[in-house]
Amino acid sequence: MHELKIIQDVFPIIENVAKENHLKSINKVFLQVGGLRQVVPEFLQFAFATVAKDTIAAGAELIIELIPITARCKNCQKQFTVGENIYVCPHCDSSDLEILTGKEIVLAGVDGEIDEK
Amino acid sequence: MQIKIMQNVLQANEKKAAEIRTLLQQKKIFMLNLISSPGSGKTTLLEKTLPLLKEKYKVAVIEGDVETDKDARRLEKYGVPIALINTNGACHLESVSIEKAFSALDMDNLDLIFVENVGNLVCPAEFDIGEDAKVAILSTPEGDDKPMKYPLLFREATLVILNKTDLLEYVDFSLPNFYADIKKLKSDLPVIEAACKTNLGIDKWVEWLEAQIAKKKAR
Repeated sequence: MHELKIIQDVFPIIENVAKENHLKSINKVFLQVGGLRQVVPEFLQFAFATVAKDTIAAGAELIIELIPITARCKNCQKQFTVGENIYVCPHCDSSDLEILTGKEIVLAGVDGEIDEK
Repeated sequence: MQIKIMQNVLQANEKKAAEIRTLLQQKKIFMLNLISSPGSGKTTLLEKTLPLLKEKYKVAVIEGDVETDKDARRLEKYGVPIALINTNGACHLESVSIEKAFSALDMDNLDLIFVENVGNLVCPAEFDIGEDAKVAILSTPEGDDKPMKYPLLFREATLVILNKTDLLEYVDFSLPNFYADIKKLKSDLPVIEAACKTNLGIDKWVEWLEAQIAKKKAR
């Protein structure tokens, strides 16, 4: 949820990055979204296309990397990907876990054209 | 040209939540974030709990609702300070809302704050408000499949109150299925079976609360 707010929060950051790096346009925005986050990629795309109009990222591609939920078993120390919401170590059946990834909403980076002037 | 940024988009809320957490630690106040669907029994639970706690502890309630002061009014009669937040459309509370509510409370004179979040199983779970614990309240008419359908909340929760167990014979809620799913999702998640209307489970809930408050004071 709140895909629009997420995208709206991304824009001041990328506009600042563009300014600092003298970009004349942004053509790609890279966003990482963890599997635990209740966010719909299609909604993010729609929000992005809408918000990007008349900005430095107008027409840019939003590339969403879905980060899987991974955990480390505190019992046997092995790492695994959590599937189907089963938070149990597939190696030793322990549920004493440390969640490593899955809660991210991270603006990973942008790709843009430098203003040669 | 590719530029690496790696910025957490939720940073602003998380930073403020961390400030709140520090403040609550300094003041030794235990704050709970009560999250559930609308109608699960958050306000009724507070109606049952406040009379039992207010003689021993200095309690306040931060009441979050999209509109109206109906819940705040229900709780007024228990004589504890209540800070009302009407979100006027927002489906969850964020840490900035809590900070605002603190300005309406005497933060030097409190042991326990209940945040009654906006009725919603989805969004409140996403936002850290600086609480010590999230408590998920699920009621039996909602169905035993809800933990798996709303995994983020149940993963984030420190306690589940299963309310309206007095209605079990009338609704399709399988306790074995529910517990089996909790075991897969978060096996050490405690569940208190309750029925607020008949006070069932309230004693166990108060016992849990008192233990949490004591632990916080000792830290």
